[in-house]
Amino acid sequence: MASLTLSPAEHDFITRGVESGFRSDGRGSLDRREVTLRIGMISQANGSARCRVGNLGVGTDILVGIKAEVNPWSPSDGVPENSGTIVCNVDCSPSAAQEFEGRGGEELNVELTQLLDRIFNGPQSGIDLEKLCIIPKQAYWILHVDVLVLDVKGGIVDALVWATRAALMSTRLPRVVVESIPDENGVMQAEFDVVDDPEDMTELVGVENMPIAVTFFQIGRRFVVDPSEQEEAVSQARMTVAVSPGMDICAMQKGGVLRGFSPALLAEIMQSAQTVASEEFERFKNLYSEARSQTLDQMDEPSTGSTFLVPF
Amino acid sequence: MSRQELLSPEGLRVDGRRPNELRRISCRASVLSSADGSSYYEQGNTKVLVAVYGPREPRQRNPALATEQAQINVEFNVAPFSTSERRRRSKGDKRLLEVAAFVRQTFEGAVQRSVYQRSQIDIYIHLLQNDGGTLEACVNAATLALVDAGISMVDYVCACTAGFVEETPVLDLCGVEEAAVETPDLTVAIMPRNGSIALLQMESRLHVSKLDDVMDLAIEGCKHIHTKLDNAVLAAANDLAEKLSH
Amino acid sequence: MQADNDFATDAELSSRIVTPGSAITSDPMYMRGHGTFTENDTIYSSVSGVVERINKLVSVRSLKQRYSGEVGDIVVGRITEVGSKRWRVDVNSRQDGVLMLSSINLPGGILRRKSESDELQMRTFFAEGDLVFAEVQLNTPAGLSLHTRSIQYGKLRNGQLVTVFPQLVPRSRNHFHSLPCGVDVVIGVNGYIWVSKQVPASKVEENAELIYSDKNDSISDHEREAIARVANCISLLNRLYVKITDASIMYAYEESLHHLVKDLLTKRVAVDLAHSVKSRLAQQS
Repeated sequence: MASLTLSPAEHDFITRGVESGFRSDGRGSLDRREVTLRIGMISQANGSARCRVGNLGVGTDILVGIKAEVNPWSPSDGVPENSGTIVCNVDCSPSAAQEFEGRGGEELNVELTQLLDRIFNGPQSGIDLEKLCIIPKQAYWILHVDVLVLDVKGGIVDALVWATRAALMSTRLPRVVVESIPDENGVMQAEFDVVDDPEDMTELVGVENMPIAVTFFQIGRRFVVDPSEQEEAVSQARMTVAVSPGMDICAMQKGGVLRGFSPALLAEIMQSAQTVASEEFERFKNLYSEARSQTLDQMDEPSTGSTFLVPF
Repeated sequence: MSRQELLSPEGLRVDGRRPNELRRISCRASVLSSADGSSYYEQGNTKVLVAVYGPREPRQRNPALATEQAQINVEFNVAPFSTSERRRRSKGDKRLLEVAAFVRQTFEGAVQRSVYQRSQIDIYIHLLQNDGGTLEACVNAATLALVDAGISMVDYVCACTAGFVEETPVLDLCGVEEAAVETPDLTVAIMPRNGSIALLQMESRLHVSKLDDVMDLAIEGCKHIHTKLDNAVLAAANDLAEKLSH
Repeated sequence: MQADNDFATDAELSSRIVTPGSAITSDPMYMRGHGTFTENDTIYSSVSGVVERINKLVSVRSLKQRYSGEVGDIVVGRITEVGSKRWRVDVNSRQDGVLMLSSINLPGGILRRKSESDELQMRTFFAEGDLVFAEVQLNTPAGLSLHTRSIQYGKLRNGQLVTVFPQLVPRSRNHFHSLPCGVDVVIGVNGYIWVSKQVPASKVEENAELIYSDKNDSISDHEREAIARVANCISLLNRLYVKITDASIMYAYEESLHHLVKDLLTKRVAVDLAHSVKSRLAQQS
């Protein structure tokens, strides 16, 4: 995914460093960079979040907006008759890389969209999709998860999932009132009404069950998590594991050719994934409650505008 | 929507404003760390994020096209969640290309392109939330981002909309007002130093006798916006100057 | 906006912060420099920045800008393209720079006549992605023209690159520093800084063939840690807008010793450290 070209000397420096247990910024192989999280900046959307992963405010920068729409059910939708659905869409901005101008980002957009769909659109997402059904065989909620990638500085997948998680957690749906009304033949028909009251909104059921993604990048003979831009340029293969809070594996995806990929190695990756994931769940919880308690006008970060993430 | 609803008997608009009142503007430069310049701009509920890269090596290096002036390239991206009904537009959508073209032409007149020979300036605009006045917000946000990038300009470019409701000129139309079929909708951008017009666009019909009033109002709005943008720039500059002075 | 005669006094002319379209002066004795333009006998600012007056020249120094390059500048660049008899070099500027085959050191003596085989073997010298340490020879409309002839280093090895804001790198006579902590830094005026294992100068001169080698020397764990520490110090100095010199890097290094290397890039530690460095720098001056 990286477009950076490094010299053979830099390549070798990073690889030998990782193999000796020394990453270029001093992190351990499973150490992640700082994350800054904000929610609710798109007030007209049902949910929104911005997540930046990186050192000192420079890093992978993701914005997610969620819009909920009522959709009339039809058998060809592919949606079960008593369920709603989550549809993801990722768009990489040219501000992340010049190659993404025009249609340049299409391939990556499709790849990331499919990955996100794999994690969030279905029971593996933890969200109770049946609660998104309004009237079986008649109407359901579609949650459109639209992601805008503003910057990529290594390891985009894990940041995507963080941001999507936060956006879904912040999502509020209007309450729907369902009534049975007799039609002209006296047959009871179900009808629904969406309550237009900003004070009367509901959270999504099951958001606390959503998974987190941990992607392992192979560099030489070792693996690192949350690579820098340079580390990702040197990495020849990666493995994404999505883990639920209950430590279930929700999704897995391999990219590139993993050298020496034995079952033992896979087991090791799974073990590390669970370790990292449980730490990340804790970190997410803390950052999310901080984000919730901050209003848009509060800026308790230093006013070094271009240094740190400014809430917007 | 009938005209009655757009302007109450007390002369208040749908969002409680008076006819010559601007929406609340909040803006900040340097919000994206990788870009040479960037800005986040809010005018009422309309929200725009702009990234500027450049001047930099042109992407397509063609000696035949080697110009003595910098090329300005604009890409306008509308987030699917920006409108009340979610909608995803293709990159080739005509409306998007049209807005990008307007913005490009506007800044071709303001940026000192001859200072940056054989290079390219990229302006990437993201509309995050649409509540009317999007072209206006894009121009203002882009001005802020270009200044943030340190790109030489002869002046700010400040844009504002104005229209006509119930025989009354109104300033800075919000989404509901713009959507009303009968409301003529004029977008003007000026360079405040000498008042020259950098952009002029109008939709719907407006009687020629009323044009002056609406234009004057819009231009007044532009001047107020200039002050807002200038304050944001000065705040950022003072901040940086203070840090760099040690 | 009219030109205001208040700005005619010298004291007020300097250090004023101006924005595009601001009038600076109408006094005919001044000439305009960078960041300004004239209209109707008045000098206006074209950027946001600080007014600088040097004798009769009035210019505006933009606080944030791409590196523009002056003859004599020492820069670090990355090869982006290999052409015939020349390389294109990314120098973090408005345009790529150019490095001509005739402007580099060739093994076997500096003034050897260039032959056909040299051109075919361009990639044995520099290939895409390689980092070079060069000097600006010419500033042309086609970009900066670079040369490495008077520099003993060809390709940069044994380390890593850190990118900083060019405004934070003051021009000085010396851009190569062997730091007391056992790490070498090459501070490019263009904001590219190479941090590497310390290699004694004598060793480099011994074998001129080595200047184009891609192979790193062996680097010990201790050296790796020092390199990472220095690199992180430079990154945090950059993000907190502290001037980057051998002195500020060493102050940061010393202050950083009671933190883990990886913690230097957390907000909390970075802010404190930068603050300490600024205090020490202020005390020195």
